[in-house]
Amino acid sequence: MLAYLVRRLIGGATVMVLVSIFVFGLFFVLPADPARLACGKSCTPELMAEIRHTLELDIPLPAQYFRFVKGIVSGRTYLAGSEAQLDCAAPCLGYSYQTDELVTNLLKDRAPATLSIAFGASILWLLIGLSSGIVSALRRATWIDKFSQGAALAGASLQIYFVGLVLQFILVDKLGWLSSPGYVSPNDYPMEWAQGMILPWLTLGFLLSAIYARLTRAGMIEVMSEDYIRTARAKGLPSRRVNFKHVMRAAITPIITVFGLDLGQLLGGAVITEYVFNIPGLGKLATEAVSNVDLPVIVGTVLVAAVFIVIANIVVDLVYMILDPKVRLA
Amino acid sequence: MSLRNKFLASVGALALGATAMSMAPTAQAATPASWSGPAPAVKGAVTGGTLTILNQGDFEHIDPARNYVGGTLDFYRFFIRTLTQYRTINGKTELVPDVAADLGTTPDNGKTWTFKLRPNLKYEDGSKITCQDLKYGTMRSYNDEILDGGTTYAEDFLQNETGFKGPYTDPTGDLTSITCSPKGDAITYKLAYAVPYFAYVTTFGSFSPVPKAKDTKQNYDLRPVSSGPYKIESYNRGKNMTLIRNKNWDPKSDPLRWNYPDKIVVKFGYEQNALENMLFSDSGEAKRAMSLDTQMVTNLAEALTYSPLFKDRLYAFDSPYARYLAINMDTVTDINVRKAIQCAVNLETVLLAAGGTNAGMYANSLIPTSLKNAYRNFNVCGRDVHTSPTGQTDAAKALLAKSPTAKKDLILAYRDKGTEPARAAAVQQALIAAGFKVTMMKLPRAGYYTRIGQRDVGVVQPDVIQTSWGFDWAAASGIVPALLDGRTMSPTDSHSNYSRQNEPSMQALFAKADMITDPVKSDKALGDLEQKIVVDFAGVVPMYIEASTFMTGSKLGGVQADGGYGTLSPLAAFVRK
Amino acid sequence: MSIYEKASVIPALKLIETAPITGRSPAAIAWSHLKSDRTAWISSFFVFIFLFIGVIAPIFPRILHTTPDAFHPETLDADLGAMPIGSFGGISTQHWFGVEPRTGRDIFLRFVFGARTSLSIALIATVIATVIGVSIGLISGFFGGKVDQVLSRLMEIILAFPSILFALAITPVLESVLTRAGLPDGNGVRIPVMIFVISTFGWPYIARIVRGQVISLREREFIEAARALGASRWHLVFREILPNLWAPILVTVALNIPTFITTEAALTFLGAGVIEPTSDWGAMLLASVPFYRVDPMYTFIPGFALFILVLAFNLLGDSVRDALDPKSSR
Repeated sequence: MLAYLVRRLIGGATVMVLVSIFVFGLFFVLPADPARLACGKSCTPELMAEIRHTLELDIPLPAQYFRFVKGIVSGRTYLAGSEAQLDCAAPCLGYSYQTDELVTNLLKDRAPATLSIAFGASILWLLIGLSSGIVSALRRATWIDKFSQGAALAGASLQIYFVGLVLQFILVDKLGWLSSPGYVSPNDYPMEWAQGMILPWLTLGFLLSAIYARLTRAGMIEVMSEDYIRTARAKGLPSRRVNFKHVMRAAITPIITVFGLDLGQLLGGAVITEYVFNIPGLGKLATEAVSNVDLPVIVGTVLVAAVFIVIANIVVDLVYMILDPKVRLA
Repeated sequence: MSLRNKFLASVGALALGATAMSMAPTAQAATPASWSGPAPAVKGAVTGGTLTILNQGDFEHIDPARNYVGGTLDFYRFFIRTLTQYRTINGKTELVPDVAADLGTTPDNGKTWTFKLRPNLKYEDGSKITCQDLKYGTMRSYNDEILDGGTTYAEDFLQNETGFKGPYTDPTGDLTSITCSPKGDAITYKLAYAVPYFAYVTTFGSFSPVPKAKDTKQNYDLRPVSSGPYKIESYNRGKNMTLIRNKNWDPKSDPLRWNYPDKIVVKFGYEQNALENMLFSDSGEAKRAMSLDTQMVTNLAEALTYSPLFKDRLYAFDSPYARYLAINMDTVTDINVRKAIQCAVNLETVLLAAGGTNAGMYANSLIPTSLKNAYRNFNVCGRDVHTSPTGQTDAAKALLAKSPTAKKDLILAYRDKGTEPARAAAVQQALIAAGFKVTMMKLPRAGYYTRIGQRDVGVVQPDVIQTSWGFDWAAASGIVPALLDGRTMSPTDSHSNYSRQNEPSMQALFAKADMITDPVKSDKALGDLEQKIVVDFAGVVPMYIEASTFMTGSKLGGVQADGGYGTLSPLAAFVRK
Repeated sequence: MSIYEKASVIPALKLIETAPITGRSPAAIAWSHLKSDRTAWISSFFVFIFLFIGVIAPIFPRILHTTPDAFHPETLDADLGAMPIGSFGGISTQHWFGVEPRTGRDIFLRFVFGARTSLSIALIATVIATVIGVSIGLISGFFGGKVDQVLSRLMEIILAFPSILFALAITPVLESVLTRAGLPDGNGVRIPVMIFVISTFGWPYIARIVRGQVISLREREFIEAARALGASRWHLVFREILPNLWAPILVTVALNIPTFITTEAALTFLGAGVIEPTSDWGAMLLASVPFYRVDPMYTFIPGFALFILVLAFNLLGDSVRDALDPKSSR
């Protein structure tokens, strides 16, 4: 298993390297001129040339890329030796064109909000999805089943921005039950933090639970009709034990897979959720950076998001392997 | 009469706390009697409490050499003092000396200016503010490749025989055009040419004292040294800023600032709708809060309908922002086509797209009506836009028929922000109705003004550009030369002359206007010049002068519209219990 | 890309167990199942309605005597924030769905033309993604070895990208490339970029499934037999394998179309889509956000329509899958 883990890690690292080359290339090669973007309102050709030099854009591209990677690994110094020397500690993702802050600091600042969303929403969607699926499977063809299936279908068909706005309209504006969604640090204001997160959690929780409900239901039904379950029942094992021990264990694998992938994508910046509910997380940072054409921040957020996804994939593969020794993915 | 005007007429001018008058942007120079501090007490003011400011975005820059945004220029006066500044009392704005002790004297009709300085001013740490600090504050603004974002007025106006480039790259160089008196009690500026309104220019941050020893270059933007009633306790970019009292600020030395709250907390990152709703419903922390950048948009209708209920915390006033279309005279060379564009644009749909009659007033000129000597009420496309703002499609078609071979394919540039896309769509529809073909050029927020100014060969230039201009000071000299003088352009950059206006006959008039030192005569000359460019050369299509509608929490008082910056000013604010 | 299309992964895999039954062809069997499925009829009806509306959209301007881009200042209250006069956002006999705030443009026409825009972009992207996905899945699965490794790695990299975030960030970059290449600014550039981005992030989902199917198929007896008979590789691919793939391909495509549609709407919602004044459902949703409190109809119309359309496709996809699978777990 260790060998497998190592192989997957190397694979993941390769993917990250290729992603970074691609992202770096696209963002720094293609746009008209990063120097112009960083230049600002009162730009002159001399100013641009100086900025180009400061940002080390006047060296050949492969060299730029290597400095970029080296910066991530061991830090970077801009304008070394001059009065205006800037030290950027590892992992160095550069400075924001917009605010001159270290991209790494920006990411660190914004990550907690995204983590908060992911944390609460994932618990909620698992709870809702799994329980809905289990109930559905156990009470097949009853109205409960139909209702849960319908709800899951609705959840799979609705969009975050629509549901988000509708829920906001009803719960915040019309009924006044909730205050406007937003993020405050849970360390300082735990109550307000939870209150501000309820809407995003509910929205994401409901929408994303749909797959889990469907998967759980389908998986359980499938397994329940397997021979060995019938045997267990025939032997007199109580229904409940049969259900939860045997059935869940077999049905759990696809759920784990999807959960890992979902979580990875969500951590990478729940772009639409953060936009709709105005949560200052990584996704919002990315959309702001895009509208500001703040290349270093865009590159930083994309890379971080990709890292989350790659790690999630690896973890999922490992868990998959642990749970189901029959599976040995090539 | 729009509801807003009815409302304004009924409430009239008033007690502080209900400033709902049309704050026409204007700032005369104050009389010497009122130059000394302290600023007159605000009626009903209460000391103490925490003033909360809730903003969508962070301040772009608070380093005085890098700040050029109205709302921030207003706000940062809490901790930044400049040579001269605007003071607003009872709705009236005047120019007063700030670090200076007078509004400057000139022995040679505006080419040399000497300001006496106030004695014994201190920074937040108790050290003295010196004349050398004032000079250094201006010198560092020359390194605008590092300290970007601010105005370039210092570099534009001051003599620079030695070619000084800025202290960071030229540490031994000196800006010889600024000299301090031997006792350090007066500062003298030698300008490259006569600037009669120089005392207005010195309200900008590049004329603010910065102690060289504490200059942290780019990082000064995170923690400038305070000379005002408050100092920065903490500033987490993008999140919040906290100001606490500066014990070393002497109210008697300051005619334009107050310090009622104990603490000022600014929070960033709110979303337009959420913030607007909070302020409108006066809920939670919004009770003791105001916003510098968020106006009533969705709630505008309700706020105005039930306005008597909110009159204590509703602020509606004109801003100095003129919204207009610049017609690129480099690419749209046919005068009939340009005049046809002027005729075709439907100001009614544009103003509706901006929010209706409460978003502003139709404008026939880039000069606001409050500048009495400069404003001219001329007809554009043969009609008074105030009474008949709709597009003159037939007139436009007739003009186009006069130049059948001229290019009628236009690229319309606009910024992806706020109501701009809707307004651009309105312009597009009106132009299409007159027979033009319009391609939209939607540009991102960041670098918009740089992009539309680009004149390089090979860069696609827009033909019609949606833009706006808030005057830097309340005179025609703060509007017309910047926007229409061909001499401000470089071969690759139009700077603020987005129309790329450079007609020889107009340039001759600009040269003549330069010679005028009397501000009234200068306003008159520039007003006439602008009229010619709009009517005879169709270089711009004025659309409307913006109005602002803000709401604050119910526990705040002393908030007022600032005539110098056209913003809602927290300077005199106080917090009731 | 979408997190809730993964439900197709597990059940679709079961299809391959179905050996062709003598007598009626699988297609005929599936068709008869489908014909008797009431849900399939209803959802097809809705899908058809939306597609039909998009196609006949140009008729409506004639009926209503106006165009989707025309401003109607008389329908707005200039003194009250330029909001529509009348309830429900200004619904009247002339404006069936009301008018837009601030512009007075007819919402019904914008809705109908928006359907045209959104659906055509999504469907074109679907076709492209399917062609690419099937081809690469086929090649990868059939040839195996190094080719498979490289292509799988490519798929993994693309799947590692945080798709919405990256699509959002890359759109202006690609646009500037195309503009510099001489394409006219505006929709001439934005639409191809959108199609490119959506199909690029979409094809790996299809390719992965096809690859899985092909791998299972290529070891089957009938392939061995054909190979023993001397069939060329191309014959095997096109004559033996591909025809057996139509079922999973159909299901995957049916279940992925809603994803393409919602991605298009999401990207436009985040600002990366078509430009003014062209109408699009995502653009309508975006424009409605500042007004949802005072004019909820403006948000509700495109949001609800999108919901119904996606729901219809999901139901239809489910029905198709069930019809093709005799062991369906209903």
